[in-house]
Amino acid sequence: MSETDFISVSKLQKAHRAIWLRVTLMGAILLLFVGLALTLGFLQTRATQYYFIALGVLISVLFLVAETYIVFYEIVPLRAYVAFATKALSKTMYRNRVKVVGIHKETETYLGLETRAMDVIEVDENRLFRVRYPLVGDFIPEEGGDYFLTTYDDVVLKAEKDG
Amino acid sequence: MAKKLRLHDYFTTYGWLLPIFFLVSLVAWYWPITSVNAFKPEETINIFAECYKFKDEELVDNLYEAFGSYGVENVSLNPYSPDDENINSYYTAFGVEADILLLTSSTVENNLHDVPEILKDWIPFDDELIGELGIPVGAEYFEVGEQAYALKVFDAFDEAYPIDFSPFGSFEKEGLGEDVYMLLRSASPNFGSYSDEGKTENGLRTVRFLLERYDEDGK
Repeated sequence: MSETDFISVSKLQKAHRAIWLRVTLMGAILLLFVGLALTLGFLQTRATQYYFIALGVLISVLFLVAETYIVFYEIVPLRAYVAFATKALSKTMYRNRVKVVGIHKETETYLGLETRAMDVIEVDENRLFRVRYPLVGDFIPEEGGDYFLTTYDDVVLKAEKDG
Repeated sequence: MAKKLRLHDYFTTYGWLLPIFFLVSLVAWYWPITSVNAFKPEETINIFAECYKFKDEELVDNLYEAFGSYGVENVSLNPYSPDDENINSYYTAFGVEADILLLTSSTVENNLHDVPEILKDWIPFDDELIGELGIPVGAEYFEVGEQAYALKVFDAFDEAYPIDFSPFGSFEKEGLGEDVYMLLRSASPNFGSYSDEGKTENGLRTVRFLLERYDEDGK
């Protein structure tokens, strides 16, 4: 029986470390930028100032793109994951045996988490409902497959393939 | 977490930030670099002149060529017509920073009063300075008290006057003209020991250059 942990204590700790790693990376990029800026400042002369201004603008734009990319695409999702995981791990979770009957292809941001939705039928009660699984691993649900899903607030925390 | 860089998604979602990044970067680089590279007063020869028409088109280039080796990086020449209704604004914008000023006699008479706060702005033409500049015998000065503060460089009524700055510019209009005086600003760093805080002697060199260039005998 294969299983995928979307949210767990160890993943939460990894996410914490990943946030600090990215903050450190941002600082390193900032230091690199300051170093480059000072170097350009010392190298430029009156005769070449406009070339250096153009080069400086190019470097600055790349720097700002890199920094905002890290913020928007790395740190913000990680913080959302940490916030949700911290809450989810402290609440009551539900484990149900389900059959996947529909998989949505669109990515949805739910409570700050990037997720995909899938429609499942709870086997014991024959109840159809929709859950979301976070895009934090290589989990690819199979349509028609049977799973044991551990969920909180309709977000899958753990998926175990049944059989 | 997704590992692949999602640059396409980034530029689609946050592409509107790029013009802002560009403008912020442009200001952040343009302002400090141009400030650092701005010409310092000791690198500049700054001349403000009242004349109806500036004529010596090669003067700026010649001054730069002559004194580039002495650290002159910029020659700023600002000639304005004395009857321009905005002459006071031009003076405020360009004249107050000038090293050397060529002003009509009426301007000098109306502004150079016997007030210490006014006179301290100008370098007096004493015997030492006259000798240093090689001012020809017979030159006349505008005096306040018993001290000469301005050198007459154009005499509208005496063609034999030993200094004739008329090749510099036209000081007459419709047959009427005024005498023109040269004043040297004491706050300029370019008059050596004659300045309040002298750093170069390029101002003195420039005055000598102009006197030789517009010597009455050399016309």
